Amino acid sequence: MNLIIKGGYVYDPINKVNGEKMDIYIKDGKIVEELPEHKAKVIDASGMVVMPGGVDLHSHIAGSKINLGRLLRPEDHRKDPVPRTRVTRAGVGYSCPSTYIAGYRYAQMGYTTVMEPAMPPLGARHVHEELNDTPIVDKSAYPLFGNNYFVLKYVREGDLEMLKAFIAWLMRATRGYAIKIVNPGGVESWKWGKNVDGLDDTVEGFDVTPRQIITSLARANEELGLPHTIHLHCNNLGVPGNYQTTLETMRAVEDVKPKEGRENTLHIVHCQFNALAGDSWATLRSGAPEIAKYVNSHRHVTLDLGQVIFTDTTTMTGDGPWQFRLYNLTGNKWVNSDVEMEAGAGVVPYTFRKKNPVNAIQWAIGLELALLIYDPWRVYMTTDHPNGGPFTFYPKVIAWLMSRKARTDTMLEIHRAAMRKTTLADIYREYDFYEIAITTRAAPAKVLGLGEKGHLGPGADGDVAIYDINPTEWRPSMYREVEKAFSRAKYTIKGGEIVVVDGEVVSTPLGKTYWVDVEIPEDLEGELMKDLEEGFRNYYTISLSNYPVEDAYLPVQRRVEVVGWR
Amino acid sequence: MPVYRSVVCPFCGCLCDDLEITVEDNRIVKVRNGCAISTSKFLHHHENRVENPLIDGKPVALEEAVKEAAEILKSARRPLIYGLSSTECGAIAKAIELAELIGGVVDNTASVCHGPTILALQTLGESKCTLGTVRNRADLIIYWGCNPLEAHIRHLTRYSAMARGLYTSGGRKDRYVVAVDVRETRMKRVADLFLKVNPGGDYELLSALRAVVRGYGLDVDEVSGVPRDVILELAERMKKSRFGAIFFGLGLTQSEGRHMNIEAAIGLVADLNHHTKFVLIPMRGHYNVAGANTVTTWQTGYPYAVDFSRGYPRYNPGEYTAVDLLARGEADAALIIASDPAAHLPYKAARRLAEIPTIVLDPKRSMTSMISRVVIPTAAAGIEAEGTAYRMDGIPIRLKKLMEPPEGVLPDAEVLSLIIEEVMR
Amino acid sequence: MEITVTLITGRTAEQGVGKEIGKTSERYQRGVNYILLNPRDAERIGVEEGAAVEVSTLHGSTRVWCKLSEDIEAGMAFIPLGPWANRLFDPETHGTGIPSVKGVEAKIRRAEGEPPTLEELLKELKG
Repeated sequence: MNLIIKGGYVYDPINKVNGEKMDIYIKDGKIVEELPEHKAKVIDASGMVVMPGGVDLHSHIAGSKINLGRLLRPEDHRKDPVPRTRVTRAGVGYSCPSTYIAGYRYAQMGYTTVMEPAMPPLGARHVHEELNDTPIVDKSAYPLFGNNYFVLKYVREGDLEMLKAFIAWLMRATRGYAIKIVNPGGVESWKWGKNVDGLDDTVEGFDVTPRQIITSLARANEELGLPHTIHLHCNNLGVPGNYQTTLETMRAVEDVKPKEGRENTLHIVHCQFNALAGDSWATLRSGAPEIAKYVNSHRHVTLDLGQVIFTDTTTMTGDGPWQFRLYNLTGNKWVNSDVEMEAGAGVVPYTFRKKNPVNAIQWAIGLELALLIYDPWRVYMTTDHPNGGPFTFYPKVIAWLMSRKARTDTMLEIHRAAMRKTTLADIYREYDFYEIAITTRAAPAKVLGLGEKGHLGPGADGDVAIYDINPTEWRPSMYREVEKAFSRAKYTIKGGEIVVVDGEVVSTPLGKTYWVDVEIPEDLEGELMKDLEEGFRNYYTISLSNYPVEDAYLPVQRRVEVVGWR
Repeated sequence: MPVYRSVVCPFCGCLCDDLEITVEDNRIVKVRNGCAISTSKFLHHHENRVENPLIDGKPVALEEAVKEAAEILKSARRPLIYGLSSTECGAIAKAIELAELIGGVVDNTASVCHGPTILALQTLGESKCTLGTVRNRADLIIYWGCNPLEAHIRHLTRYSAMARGLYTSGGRKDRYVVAVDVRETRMKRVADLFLKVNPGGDYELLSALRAVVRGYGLDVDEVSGVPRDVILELAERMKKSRFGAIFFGLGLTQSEGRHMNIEAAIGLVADLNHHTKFVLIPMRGHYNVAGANTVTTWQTGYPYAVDFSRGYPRYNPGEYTAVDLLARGEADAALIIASDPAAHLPYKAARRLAEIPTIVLDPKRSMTSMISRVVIPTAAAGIEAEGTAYRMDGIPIRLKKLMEPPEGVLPDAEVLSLIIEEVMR
Repeated sequence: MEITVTLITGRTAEQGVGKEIGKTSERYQRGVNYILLNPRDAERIGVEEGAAVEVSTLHGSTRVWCKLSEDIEAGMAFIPLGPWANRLFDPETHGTGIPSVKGVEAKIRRAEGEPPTLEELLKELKG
């Protein structure tokens, strides 16, 4: 079907379109220059906001971790049962939505691309099976590298070539998209019940430091020229004073040469959880200004927020020692799950409370990061779903970013620590629709290296969100309207197909799965396979030949070819 | 004569994936590396098969059987779909879709094996790991209420007591092994320490260990038949271990206390993590019972006992579980996939299956198939059909197709798709 | 003469082997229609290896062959799960979904007549 979206106010930052009244043409699933009107279905978007489909680069929607969360929390599901309709499957929502519901709800908010940011390689089939049951959106998953036996081995040996070969191999074996690192070294130490306390601590059983792991992986990533940078969950997450670890981490990769054509070499995930100043919970304050100051003067860092929402949610990370710490802080139920040779994970339910001073500070930190970092191309809106809160609260975050009044109204309801221990009350900046389009679609698409996403230029995927709000009449005091408009897209179009009308799902195509394929030089591959065969025989519990994910798990795939060695 | 290597065994939750199977003239003639049960499964998979689709015992065409099945399910007020732990995940997904479509209940055999484990997890959580982590690290392994020598035959050598790994190059001699059971099984010969616990006494013994780990004394001479000194020493050994693992089986879930027993174990293990690293791993029986829970959870939010009668999923073990629905006489039609409840559920529940129109999908004849209205033969997953299975520790592995199924016989997932189409017609 | 024992159920490797040949196979039936007793208990009720015994609980009764072993202590008995054993158990799950099939009190005595065959069990099940 061909489509013409007529007369909307278009926000397409990659093509520098800022609220101009324009028509958008879609033919065979792609954006085109122009189409004759009689050959297309016309959507009247006059008086509405038109943006590329949303792109979420960090949301835990698929795989063993979120599924443990679902398993752990029947009480969470019971708040939000979702019945079957003529076109959609039944399921549950809230903080651990079932796969179908996750796909529908993203589409209902105008999102069309979502990345699962933590795939334990041994569980890769599980992630892909769930992604295949997550309808509408395009997606990918990032395999975990930061505590992998072979990574630690090659880092210890200082063998960057073998490290690169291993990255290429594992990316293909798991059908993964980007290098995810979680608490580098700490998760390995946690297999002995320990952790690392900073960049220069030694990893238990390996003679390497987190600093070496991070810099080696960043170097390997840039030399290979992968589409995204390393995607890093820093050490010391959730520990008061950890903003310094975060700054040190950013400094550690300053001299890593970025891949040709970009300036950035490091993405810090859910930075809010890693921007805590003070030396205890009692003296906690925001470290966001220091981090923003650094980011504003260094081009090599991007980050996402991990914005806190005041609600009951479920925390889940690949950071086992942190989840144990949180279990001890809260006394809530606790799941720990260690994965041989590779990774680990933990799950703990958590409620962010308005009257809790720590939670109030955390809430403010996320917004400070978004507002104090000048360049929206390098700071992306996420809640680290479901860690800071469910992704369904994105419209609320958009309202906070666009309206100082929205922030003030919230600040008046929450613990005064948000005003006293952070700078948020002093910040007057308000995002406009153009900046929202940057932080929620254009910039994440760009940093992921997804050329056909995040914009509406010819050749882009026909992914469009239309929101029923008139930007020429809107003022920040009307923030509830923007929240409402972004909650239920007037239309969501995915690959040229209308999937949402008036906030309701009308069609559920299966999106594609992106993965990165890097060819490994033959001699290097031979050497690598020898290592892998030995390692698998001696230490793994499945055969090397049964490890790589088969094509059957990617019914709709988009292979991104990368020339890693020239 | 094709020899398939690294074949995955579709029998128990170990999912050993190092079998070598020789196929000659579409017949398996040799099995290497398999345990006794696995070898039996592969060598005899063609015996005692359901040869034709049947309605009331009479051979019919597949289309007819599918139509009859759809008719039964459509006209039922409280249909139950049950089994699913011995088939691949694609079939499980289709069964859930069908349950949703007909507003029925979908349950899997976890409800009568490790259902209590899941109930306890939903109360407290759990500390667990993959089997390789135990292989590589555990210097203390406790088998509690389980007997791998009978039920998970290669577990000891591949994954636990005898396995050699990264930090356990000495294998068995690098580990201290404990077995706890109500009777002296062959595990007594494997273990360094065997504790005989009184039937129904697991909760007390676990709680006593937990008390000692927490620093309390015991002012009794014995707990559940185990002397105080032994408890004190074991608690100390647990705290001093570098990496401890408890494997547990139906000895905990099916005896008095059920989920409370598991909660006691989870609490003990959580406390031990303040001293060292400790994990707790259920010995899942059927090869894909973990998959049945996994798929049901990602599709509905709940692992088993899911009711769609209101259009959205509801979960309530004890109410929507197969035994209860059948024994109460509530289910008025049943679709059984890859399971034999007529042979294993308590008689009153089994009896109900014979009273109501029951449909069975199974490669082989079973008690259930012999009392069912409609029987549809299917391909044996892992031999004649491929698909995913989840190991007891949650690792997904691809089952292989080694040969063609008998003429006209389809995999479970395809038969379920046909039924879904027919229901939607 | 009758004794009271604590009944344990479970699976065995032999049952697994038989099951995989087929539920209707000789080997499966042999693998599940027996009860394991301590020789001293057997002596008390006057049965030998291979005799038929009647096992009954509050919830039902069944007849199976008797096997003797020192592996089971006096006062306890083991019966593999299957169509002979399932007649002994209460379907009440107390809200958990799982019936109690381990540690159940049972009475055992010499049986009049042989254990039922699988066909006979089926016939009865069908009603």
